[in-house]
Amino acid sequence: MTRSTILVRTALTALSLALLPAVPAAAQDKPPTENDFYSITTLPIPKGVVLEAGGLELLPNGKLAASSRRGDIYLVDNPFSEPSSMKFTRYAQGLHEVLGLSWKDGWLYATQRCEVTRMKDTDNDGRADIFETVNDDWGITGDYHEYAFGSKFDARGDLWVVLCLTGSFNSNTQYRGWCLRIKPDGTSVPTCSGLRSPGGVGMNHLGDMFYTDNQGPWNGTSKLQHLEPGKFVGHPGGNRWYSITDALGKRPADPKSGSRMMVEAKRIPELLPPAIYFPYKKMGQSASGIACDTTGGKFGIFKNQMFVGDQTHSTVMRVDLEKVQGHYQGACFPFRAGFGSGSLSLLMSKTGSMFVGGTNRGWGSRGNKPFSLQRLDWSGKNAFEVLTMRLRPDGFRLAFTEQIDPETAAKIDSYQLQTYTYIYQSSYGSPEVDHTKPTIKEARVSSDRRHVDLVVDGLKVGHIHELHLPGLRSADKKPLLHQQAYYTLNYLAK
Amino acid sequence: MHVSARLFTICLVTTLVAIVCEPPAVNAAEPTAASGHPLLPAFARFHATGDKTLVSGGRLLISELNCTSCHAGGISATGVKTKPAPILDAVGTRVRPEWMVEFLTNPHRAKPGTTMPDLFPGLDAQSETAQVQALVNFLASTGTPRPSAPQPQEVARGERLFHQVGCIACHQPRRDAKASVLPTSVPLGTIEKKYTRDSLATFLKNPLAVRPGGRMPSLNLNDQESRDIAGYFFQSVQLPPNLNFAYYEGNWSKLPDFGKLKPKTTGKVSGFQLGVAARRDRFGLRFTGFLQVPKAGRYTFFLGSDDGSRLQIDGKTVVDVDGIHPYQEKNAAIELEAGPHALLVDFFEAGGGEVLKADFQGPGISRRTLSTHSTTVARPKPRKPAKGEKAFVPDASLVETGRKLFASLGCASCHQMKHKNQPIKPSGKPARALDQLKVAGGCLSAGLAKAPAAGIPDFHLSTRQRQALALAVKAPARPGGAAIAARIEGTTEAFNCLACHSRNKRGGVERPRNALFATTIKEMGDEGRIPPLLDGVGDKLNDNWIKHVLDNGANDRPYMLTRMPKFGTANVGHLVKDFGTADRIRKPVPLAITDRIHRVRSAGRFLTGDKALACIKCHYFGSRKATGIQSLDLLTMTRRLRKDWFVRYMLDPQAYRPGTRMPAGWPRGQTLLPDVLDGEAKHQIASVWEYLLDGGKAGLPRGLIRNPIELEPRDEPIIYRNFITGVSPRGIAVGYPEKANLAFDADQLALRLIWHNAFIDAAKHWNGRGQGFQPPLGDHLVTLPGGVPFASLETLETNWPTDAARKQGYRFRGYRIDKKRRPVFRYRFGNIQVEDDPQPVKTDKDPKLVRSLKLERAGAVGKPLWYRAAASPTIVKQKDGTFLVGKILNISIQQDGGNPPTLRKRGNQWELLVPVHWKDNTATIVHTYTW
Repeated sequence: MTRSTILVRTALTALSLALLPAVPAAAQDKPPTENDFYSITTLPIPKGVVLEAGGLELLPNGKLAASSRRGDIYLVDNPFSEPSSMKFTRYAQGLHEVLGLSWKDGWLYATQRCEVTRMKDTDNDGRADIFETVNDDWGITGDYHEYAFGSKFDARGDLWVVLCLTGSFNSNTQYRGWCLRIKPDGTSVPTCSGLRSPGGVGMNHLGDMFYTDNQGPWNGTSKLQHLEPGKFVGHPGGNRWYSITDALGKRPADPKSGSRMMVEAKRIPELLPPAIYFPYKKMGQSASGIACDTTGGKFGIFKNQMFVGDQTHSTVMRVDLEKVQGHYQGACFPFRAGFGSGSLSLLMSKTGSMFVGGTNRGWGSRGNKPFSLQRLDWSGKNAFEVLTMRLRPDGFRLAFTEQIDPETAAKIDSYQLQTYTYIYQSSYGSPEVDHTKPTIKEARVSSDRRHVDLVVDGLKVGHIHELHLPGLRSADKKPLLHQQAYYTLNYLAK
Repeated sequence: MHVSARLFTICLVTTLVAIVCEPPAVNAAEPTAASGHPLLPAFARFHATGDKTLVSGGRLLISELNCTSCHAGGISATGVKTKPAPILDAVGTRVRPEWMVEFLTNPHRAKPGTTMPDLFPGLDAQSETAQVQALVNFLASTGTPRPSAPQPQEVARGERLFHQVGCIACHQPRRDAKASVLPTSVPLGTIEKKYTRDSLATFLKNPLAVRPGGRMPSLNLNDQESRDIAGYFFQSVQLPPNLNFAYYEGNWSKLPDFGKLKPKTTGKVSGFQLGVAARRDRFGLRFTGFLQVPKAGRYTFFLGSDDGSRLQIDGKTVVDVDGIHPYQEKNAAIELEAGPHALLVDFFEAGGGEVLKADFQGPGISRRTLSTHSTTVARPKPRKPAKGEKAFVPDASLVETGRKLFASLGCASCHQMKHKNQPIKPSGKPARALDQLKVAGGCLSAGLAKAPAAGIPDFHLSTRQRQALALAVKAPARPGGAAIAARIEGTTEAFNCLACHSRNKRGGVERPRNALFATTIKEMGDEGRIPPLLDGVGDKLNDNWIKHVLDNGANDRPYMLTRMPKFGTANVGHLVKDFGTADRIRKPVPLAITDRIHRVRSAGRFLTGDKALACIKCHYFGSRKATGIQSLDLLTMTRRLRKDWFVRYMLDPQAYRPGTRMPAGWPRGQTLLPDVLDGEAKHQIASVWEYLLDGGKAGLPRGLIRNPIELEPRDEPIIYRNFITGVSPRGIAVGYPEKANLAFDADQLALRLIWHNAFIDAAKHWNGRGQGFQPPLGDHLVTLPGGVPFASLETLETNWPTDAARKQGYRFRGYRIDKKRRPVFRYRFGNIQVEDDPQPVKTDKDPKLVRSLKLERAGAVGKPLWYRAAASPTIVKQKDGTFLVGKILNISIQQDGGNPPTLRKRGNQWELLVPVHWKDNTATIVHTYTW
């Protein structure tokens, strides 16, 4: 350990001691928990208000806007302060299940089930009084499943709307199962087909748009999917609407049920595989909202990484992506559990706080509250974690959040690696199939003791590479806070 | 094959059913009717003693013994439909030939109490045997009954159903073996010898098909219930094995080659029973045997399983449903020659549930399990008959003789039987007409059995039955009203209605059977389990309903386990008119309601809800359960009852149903809610009737939906954007504190619904996932037409355009909220912007809506533009210049300048069109809705 790092660590320890309540001496021997690094603050939703937050946005005046499945929009004063000094006021009511909020040029944009609406408070009484329909180019039939999630504005000023199918299998009215981009002039551009049941939509640090989709037909497990314009992202249920638009060219060939994603991706040029599979039950069961750490360190060490909620497990997961052969792929890691309800909407503030809205209406969650709105703050300490897992031609390179113990890190036995994939099929979900056990031939520790290169014999294209690191220790002999990483390998590194 | 395939099958099948174990203990309770006289419950109950009713008893015998089928005409008929004998067209598929032999040889011994006469009282034993053999060969030539054995759970369910659904109202209960046989129990004979389990089930499913006279009515049993009850009678039948099996254990995801594996056990089994497996997961079974194909032809095989299975015939795969899956079925058809075919069914189960079904159908064989026609060896030896029973050996040469005997012996006089699609006509000497009879000899001779007379059927009548018949044959008809009363009495006796119902203090449930009349809601007392009185039934029920019940049976009292069976108006149809004539009170309750119908219905809705009389606490409302006990569905009331009776009943329930738990909503004829309508009890009751008559379309009664989330506008309007019944999925409902509410359709740009009072219940959408459309919660709902609001018409003959608004260039633009926080809707089409501004206005009665449409054009508008203010089957201009649209809604229209509105008729609809009048570049149309 260098002198400077000792200084930094000492300073950080002093800082955290100052910030945190005094910890009894005995407790310091306990293994660290997620809460030691990221703490959850529950926002005080007033009694009598049911706020199933489906959309979140921070307004220029510093208030947090939260939209609810019941159609209300509440504003929270002082959202970064202590709960006792926060205040909730209702800004709008009577909207239809709002699952996306975004601010632009003095208007608050809401993605409702039936349309994108923008609203404004013209008489400054704290309540919106103009509701303008921006775009309603998609159909709804009255089926509960036809949710619409809206993104933040991208660099071009477009708002991306991802539209659930009618149920799990069908697209009974136009553009169900599609992503539409709403241009600044209010027109829509069909952008991707093949969606099933989105749970959130959001950008990475480069402004590329992603959405999450859930286990079901043609989705063996939940996923994070890049929305590359023109692509078909897997569920052919909505492909009938190629007949009403030329925006995406010709209708792609239907995938063969019972096949594998990368087999079909070779056959169907329009088919874009998921960037990340979240292995079912291991990581979560219902991937939802998306946030990205673009705070430049205010949220901790995971700069430019993405965060994805899981509604069933009431968690936020962490995702590190890279581009291989021009496609996004990468690894996901457990990050933070214990949210009050089923995590749905995520919002990262510029100041490094993450807001998480939750609901478990209609779908159960581990968090047993019917709804919740919470803030996740970094304590200033970083846990010992796998920072990134990146693909190399002969294996993986792991980066860590702190220096590792070279002895355990170099031992092959410190790692366990298996691979598997999912059946790409028209029926619901898939078990893990095609299991393999690649051989880790060598674990090379870098000279800065921040990285390990795993030399692997038997990388499998189209498989999740599930890595456990039970034996690995940090320089000061700590185990990892989370010992699992799941890398989705669609393309090999050249 | 040496014998013909047909006869072979008969042998095979009849030997299969022949293995009947010793009768179980319950059969000891079988009615022995030791005397052996024809047993008619009503005769035993009402005419067994005393002289007063002996003539009626004789009339009952005439109809029930079907005297007039031989002794034609003349008799002073009571109007009671004579009981015809069973139809024998396909008796061979129903009744086992062994039993036919026994029954025809001596009906009174084979089934004591039967109404079937002995046909051979004068014949020597040898001739009798020959004639019986010939007759049975003829009868059995119509088919063979299919055997099957019941599962224990079917027997248990059958036992319960038999004692619960109504069988024991007429038949002897079978639970208590020691109980003495009731003299009113209709005998069943040795039912397990007569039928097979399957043929009895077929009979029970629709008894009227073969016994059209309706004395054995249909209890509307479904397939499973009929099979269960039949199974109860055949609980001790064990079928001989008809398949070989080999059992394997292992963990497979597809069928292995069982031939290469060593089975854990092997054996023989009856049917494709998975129960032979030692465990429920990870096992396999191979069933083998021979399919005995009766007739060459095309056969379809159905194979269904969870998990995988495969069916092979003669070594070739016919159906394959291999692999791990939930229950999945496939089928395939192949041609097969008559005779035995090697049969193989492989099955495996990985985990979870396990099912295997292997069925087939083909020429003359409806779909059934393969094991009914399978044997363990290719050519099974005929089996020995059961103890005490002679196997029936068919003799094709006797069939024709039997057919002739059927005509000449008089069988054809009573039984319908077709030969070559023509009914067989009796060929014997016709008997003397009934009114010409000397009432001493013939059928009425005493001791026929001892001193037989050839050609005379022996009914085994008791002395009293002979006396009664003699009296009835000579008795004169009754006149007029007395005849109606007598006819009702005769029919309710003949059909044993009185076993369950009482009328004029006669009949009703007999004490020893009473405890078996059960209910699902014990706290309803006898009312919940004993069928209703028939006193005044013609006053209470309307003709259509009586007819409906007689034709279909009834199960409108879901808590009552005894079912009202179906008798058929062909048999008892005269009751519809007779009940009405006898019971109906001629002076109806005077009713004059002056208020508008929607207010009357709203009053009825209020009265049924939990803020008033709370009818819904004890009564179903359509498919919705009551919140307390579950009594008769309120929505059946107007279908069943007569309005006049309903009003009288409501005023004093105890007068009509003594002891009823129905509370008096208007005690001593007075209302407890003087503010509803005019406070007149009769009018309030009539309003409940009108509300129910409308099927609850005026809205559900309050309190029916549990845990509602009622949105109540108090200080300002509430907007509710969701799926609203009667509006497209882009509905926007607005509730106003003034208690006039509306739903705007953002897809059609039309105001679609307006209503008063309560706004909406959000519970459907705000609980769970929120599936479905929600109707308004309040009263006086008016639906306004969809379709675009504005159109340019070439002439007034041009039809209003019907394309979707979006297709016609309309775009919804949202809404602004005005100073009173009321939404003003905005849309555009072409170069015209529209603001649709509805404003509720309080009045001293119900609030009204004043709706302004403000148009603004960006340039010239080519053709004349019209606004369609209303479209309805009726629109009538009123003297004050307003328009009555339909029955409820009144619209007045104002426009500054321009031409007045025009009424026109297109198809079945009237349309109220307003020519849009531009002033500079704006136009304003204001309408007022009053309803």
